[in-house]
Amino acid sequence: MKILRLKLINKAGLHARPAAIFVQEVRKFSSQIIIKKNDKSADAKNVLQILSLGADIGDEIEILVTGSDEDMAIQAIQKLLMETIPNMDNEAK
Amino acid sequence: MKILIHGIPINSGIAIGTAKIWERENVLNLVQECKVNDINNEIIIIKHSLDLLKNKINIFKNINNKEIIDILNAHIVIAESIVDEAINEVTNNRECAVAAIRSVTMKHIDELQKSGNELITMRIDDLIDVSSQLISLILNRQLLYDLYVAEDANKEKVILVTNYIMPSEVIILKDRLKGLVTEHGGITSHSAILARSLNIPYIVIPENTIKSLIKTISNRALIVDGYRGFLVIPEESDMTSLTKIIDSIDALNAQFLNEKMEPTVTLDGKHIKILANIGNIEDARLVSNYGGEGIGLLRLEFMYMNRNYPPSEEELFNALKRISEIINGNEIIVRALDAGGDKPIPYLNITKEVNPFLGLRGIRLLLKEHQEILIDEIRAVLRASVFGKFGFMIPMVSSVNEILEARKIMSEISEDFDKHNIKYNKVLFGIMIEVPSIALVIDKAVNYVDFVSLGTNDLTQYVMAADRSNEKVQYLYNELHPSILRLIQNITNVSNEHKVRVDICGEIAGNEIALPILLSLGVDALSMNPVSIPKIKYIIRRININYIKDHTIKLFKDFNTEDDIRDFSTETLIKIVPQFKDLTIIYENYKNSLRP
Repeated sequence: MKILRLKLINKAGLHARPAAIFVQEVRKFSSQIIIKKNDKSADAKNVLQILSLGADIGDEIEILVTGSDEDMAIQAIQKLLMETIPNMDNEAK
Repeated sequence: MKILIHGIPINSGIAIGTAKIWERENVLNLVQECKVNDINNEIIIIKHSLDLLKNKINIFKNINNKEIIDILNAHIVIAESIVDEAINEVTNNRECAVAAIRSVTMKHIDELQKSGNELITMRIDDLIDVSSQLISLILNRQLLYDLYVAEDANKEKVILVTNYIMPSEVIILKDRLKGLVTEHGGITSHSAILARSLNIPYIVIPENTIKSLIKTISNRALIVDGYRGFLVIPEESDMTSLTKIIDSIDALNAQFLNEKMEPTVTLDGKHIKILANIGNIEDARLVSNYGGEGIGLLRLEFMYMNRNYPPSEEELFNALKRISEIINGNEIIVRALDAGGDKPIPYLNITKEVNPFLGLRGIRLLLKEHQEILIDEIRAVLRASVFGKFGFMIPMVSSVNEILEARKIMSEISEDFDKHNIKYNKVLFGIMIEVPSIALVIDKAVNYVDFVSLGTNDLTQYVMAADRSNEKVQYLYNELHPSILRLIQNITNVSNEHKVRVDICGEIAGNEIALPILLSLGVDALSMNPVSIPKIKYIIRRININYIKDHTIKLFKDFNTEDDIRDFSTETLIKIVPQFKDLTIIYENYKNSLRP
């Protein structure tokens, strides 16, 4: 199992559009992926569960990845949450 | 021409067209509980509905519009998650397909509401949108908007007036909507984001107004004014000329948006701070998108609504810290809770008053009966000041004594912080000027404040003795009345002398007709509904204050009628942006319709 801890830096946190982009990306991996915020946890491949976490800008989250492609998955998630999604803030209309 | 309703601008622009009223039902309410024996059949039904929905969505994704594609992609992901969980529901509880989708949806609506995060609760719209579509596909039920599209064979573009509109409906109806009017919605909803990207003027009107309007507006011509938030009925005889005028204004909006990120500096080099009025965490996310430099009025009332006790210092601090992070540490002016008989909060036990507008409201209520709230707010702001630039202001100030009392509380808290080694940065202290008495002793008040912020809506009510919500005296409610302007002139003169900053956070700040006057008077910052920011920025960037100042000041002494100053300001505006001539013709018409 690989664990990634990070602080969300994009303006809208893991809300609908960012959450959807996140889910589309993690579904490409076969590993089981869990996101935790405080005492709540969510299946990263289910957007409804992610929304229920209420993970917003400034929140610390923990991502637990277990499976054969866990290394690739964790790298992809790190890039997604720290680069790709935050960069979308600058393009936003 | 008659202004029917004062609503809230959601997307700027102005449109004229035939009103189409759509009173809708909630598809989720049509679903009844039901149990089945054949689980597999229900699973097939659910999976099939997902395929149908994906096909439908893919047709609409074939468009060059990033917002639409993003939202449709989000809908696909939401649909997949609903379907996954609905299949479990069928398997575990033997629910039929539609009942399973409904249970999953209701469960998540409940959880999202509990998340206490407004942006997330707003995404409930998308959840309802997607599950309504799935259910409609299963029931083979024509969606209301399908009917709506089909029934009107000539495909005329209309002004749609409805209780609420779901994001997928804005997408499907995009070529049919001239303007949009709903009872529910806000500037950060997906429907609003779509209306903006499709350039559809959009306003939100108060709840339950549609019912009372049906007879008046159905199939009649309507104007939706997304600059002012007005819903207007034009005279039939004016229709041709109005349609021409409004169509010519259409291009203006795009021009405003083009420059929204440029600095707000006048032709003679004065920087005017452009800030946003914000009433919840979510709208803060849009401030920089509109080109706002910060928040000039953060109303705290949202923190106190829909609960049974006031928020703790910790809750207030967390909200302020979050907003500060969202706007990158830029300036936030927090206004102390502004409650009273006219804006009641049940658990504060505000006594019923015969005349709440002249009663125990704003800072009066906080100092007399709820100092604990004022203390929590100041503590929260001081703590948040480590994360960004903060100001704190008190509303409804009528005497210097109130300023001294509030300041004393603030310095006691600072001392307490020093003693306990709690970190904080300098927080600007300011007052709102709404009550004429404080405006008239401004030369004393400035000794105790870093800034003043003019709440011109209430100031106008109090100076003119005209209730803003009373239609019969609307003709007297004139923010550009010389009496108000002379008060503002005195305030800016005295404040500039004392190096005290002057902000305006009333509606006048977003009113372009007032701009040449306000800038001539020496205002430093304007705070407004974020939707108005691009328009105001565009004009400021084309004004030369030195060029008009002397004339404005002279006019303040020499005017003959009360309209002289407004007329000069309008002329100035038209010289700067000729297209405004068309807009001002319309506003002239609104104004004349208010006269007795």
